[in-house]
Amino acid sequence: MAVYARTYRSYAGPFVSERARLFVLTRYGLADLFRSKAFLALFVLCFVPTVVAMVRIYLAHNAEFLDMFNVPSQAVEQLLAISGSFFRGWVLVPAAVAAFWIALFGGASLVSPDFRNNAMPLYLARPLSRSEYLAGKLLALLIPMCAVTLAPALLLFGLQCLFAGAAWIGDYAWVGASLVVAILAWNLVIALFSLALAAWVKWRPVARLLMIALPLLASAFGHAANGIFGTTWGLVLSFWSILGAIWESLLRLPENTATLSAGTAWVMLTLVGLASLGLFYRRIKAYEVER
Amino acid sequence: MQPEEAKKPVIELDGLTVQFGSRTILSDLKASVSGRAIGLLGPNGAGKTTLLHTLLGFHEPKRGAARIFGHDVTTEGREARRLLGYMPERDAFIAGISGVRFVRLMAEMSGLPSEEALERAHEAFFYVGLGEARYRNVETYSYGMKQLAKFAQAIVHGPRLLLLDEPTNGLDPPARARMLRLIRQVRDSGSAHVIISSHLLKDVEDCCDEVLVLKEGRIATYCNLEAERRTNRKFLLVETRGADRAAFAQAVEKLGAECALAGERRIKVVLPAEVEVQSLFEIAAEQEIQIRRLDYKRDSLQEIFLRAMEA
Amino acid sequence: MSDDRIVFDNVSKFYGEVLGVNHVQLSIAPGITGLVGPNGSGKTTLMNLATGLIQPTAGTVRVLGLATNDPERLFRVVGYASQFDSFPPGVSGRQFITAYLRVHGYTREEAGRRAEAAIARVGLSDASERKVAAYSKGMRQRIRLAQAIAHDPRVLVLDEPLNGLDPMARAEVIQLFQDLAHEGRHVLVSSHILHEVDLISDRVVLINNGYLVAEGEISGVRTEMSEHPVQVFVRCRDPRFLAARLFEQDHTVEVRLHDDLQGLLARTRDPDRFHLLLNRLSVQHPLGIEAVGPADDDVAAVYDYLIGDTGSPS
Repeated sequence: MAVYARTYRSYAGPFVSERARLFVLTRYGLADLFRSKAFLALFVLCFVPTVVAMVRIYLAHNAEFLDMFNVPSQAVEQLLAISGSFFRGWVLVPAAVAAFWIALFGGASLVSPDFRNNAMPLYLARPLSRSEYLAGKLLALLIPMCAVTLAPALLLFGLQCLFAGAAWIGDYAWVGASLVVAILAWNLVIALFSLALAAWVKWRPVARLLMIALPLLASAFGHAANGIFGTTWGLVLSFWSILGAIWESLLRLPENTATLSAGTAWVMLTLVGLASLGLFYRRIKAYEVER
Repeated sequence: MQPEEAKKPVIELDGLTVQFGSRTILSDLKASVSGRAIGLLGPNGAGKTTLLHTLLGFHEPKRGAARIFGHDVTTEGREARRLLGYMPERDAFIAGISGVRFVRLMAEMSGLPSEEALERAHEAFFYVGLGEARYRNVETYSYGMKQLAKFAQAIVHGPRLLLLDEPTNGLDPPARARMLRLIRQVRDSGSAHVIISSHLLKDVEDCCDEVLVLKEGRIATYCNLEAERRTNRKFLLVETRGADRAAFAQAVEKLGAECALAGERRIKVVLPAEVEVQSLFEIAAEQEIQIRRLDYKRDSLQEIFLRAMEA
Repeated sequence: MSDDRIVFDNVSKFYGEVLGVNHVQLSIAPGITGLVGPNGSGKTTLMNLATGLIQPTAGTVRVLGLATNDPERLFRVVGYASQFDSFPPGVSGRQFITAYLRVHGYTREEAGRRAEAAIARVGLSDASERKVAAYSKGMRQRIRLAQAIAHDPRVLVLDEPLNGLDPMARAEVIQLFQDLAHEGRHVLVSSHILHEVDLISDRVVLINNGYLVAEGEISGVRTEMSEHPVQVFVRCRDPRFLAARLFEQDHTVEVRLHDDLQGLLARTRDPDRFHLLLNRLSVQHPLGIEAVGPADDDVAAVYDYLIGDTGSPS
């Protein structure tokens, strides 16, 4: 009989290329996210507005069958006409909300466990740079975020193009590009925001709470400042105002409320993104120096 | 191991200076280290952890360089870290996933392909003795198990140099014995060098063949334990029982040795070069006295350390 | 009831359903007593019982004749250093000790004087003005020790007091324990580092799974374990010859050659005859003996026999 001794065996097999390293983090991150039933439910729920929007687009173009029910199809079509405000209200708003909630849950899940029990030295003791860690985790969060925002947007836009015909496409093809820009910008910034919070606050529930509380508080503060000082500059502290201004500009909608200028809004959004990026990056270190 | 790499020293410190702000932690370290297992010793604040962190690329040196198997830890950090395995002193793990998944992730982060990483993760768990617990989440492990899991993630990718920071910290005696056994096995396998930073001189004495002692950010001494042990062979500690100890000591002195009675039963003996230990037994046989204990000085490391601190 | 002992009289302690210790009978004399056992064995429970931090579920604990449910009187004679590393934030080393002494009732001058003395005794005089939060692990260990000795207690209960100390600090603290023991105090030290327990303890208490496994001086514990024959190691050039001769003896139970074939491990029921035989054999034959000694005359060996390596960690 042969007896096999189990001793330490060094590794003599192949190694994966350096580039692919950060995708390992993405892969594990995605697997961990979708293992949670709550997250999966949230993910699926985010598609509901899309389905409703699809029905609405269909009705806007093909309401004839409603005549069967003695509903004036012409009136319905008028009502449901697809315009810029449709895309804002039925695509961008749900997308922004969906992205926010996915980032809220996902950011904390992806990153807090690594910081809570001092796993960073284990990562950084390997051939992995801080940027690669950041990129891997960001990608893991962006993928589900884009799946519930970008994909439905493109789908809805495509549907509208299908029904509206070549003439409409000629005039409004830019809407598609605007949607993509708006969604990606928000996704990126809010993903970074969530990751930064999760990196600085090690406990998931607290990180999530802060992600809701901070924007609300900032917004309330901004509105209060407006009231006290009689300006509108306080609106820079409100995510909603920033988004509103950006959407208005991208979708060339008429300005109907006294809001920020698009330029200011973009600057604010960029600042939040850069600040989050910087804060997250600073948190990725391998040791705590004891003074 | 490539033949060229085999000739390179494990670690080269070339005038290494590391500062935190204005404080100098490591000052002009010069050494070429190539033992199988190297002990890193020094009082608190001497810079041991900083040295380990510098080798891992966590700090950039202010001046000078450090090289691991020829790779500069600053300019070729990635190549260097590919060859390293690190076991930090503090608790380090990822909660919420099983032990196997944790170590598999670490293996993949070191560059192993997915299936190989899974195989090695299982293997590592069995090797350290955590086979039964590998599917449990790491946060459910006891302290000793977490230490072993930390060790498993350090070896899973088959590194050529293991950096262990206080590996036996807080372990109860059987767990400590197991950990030291694992370290010795890795050392003896020939495929990895080990650096152990520890306050427990006995652990270092048991596992290491060389020691590097730091004091106030400088190298106080770097020496080979084997060589020291060999020179201590003529300094004996003898414990007798049964008959007159003094008579025994007198007879031994007649051989030309120096004898000194110590405590109730012990005799310190320094044998001249030409006298063998055999002679002591001959005297004992004559006098019908038992030699219950006979051994040469085994506290070489303690002496080396104290000498280094006083220098 | 002797007034210079710590006495556990059939003490049991349960935390709800969880067992702390069960049926412990101990009488601890002055000097250094080592407390040894795996994690979770009941060491901390035992120490908490001795300091009155918890009360037994059954049985009584008396420290120098005092009941442990009387903290006013008990804490005058007992000093305790736990293994937990938490301190009130923002205090310096000296403030920490002085505040503690003021709680004991000393005047400000007396507290200051005693704090200085305690801090000097643990070698932290240079660092006493700095904040404890900035101390290294070893320094925090020592300031805890200072707190335990500051009010000059007759009984010291110390949980892993050498943890985190570098070799020189270990030697200094060990010397401190020996000085305190010489002054007639009780020093109860728990530790995982068995060879240090060996070095410093006058006697040892082994505990496992909440039960007392053995207590006494090491050689005393050994002689009580008569069902275990004595193990002796011999390092020599020709172990085979020695092994063959040993097997001819009726007191030999077992002989094992070392892996490197430069020695052997023998178990014998009669160490006296064994050693005399060794003398005769080395005269007859060039054995080339390098070293001889008992392989199990220490805490580590006793621990191994009685508590052992319980297989895989769980």
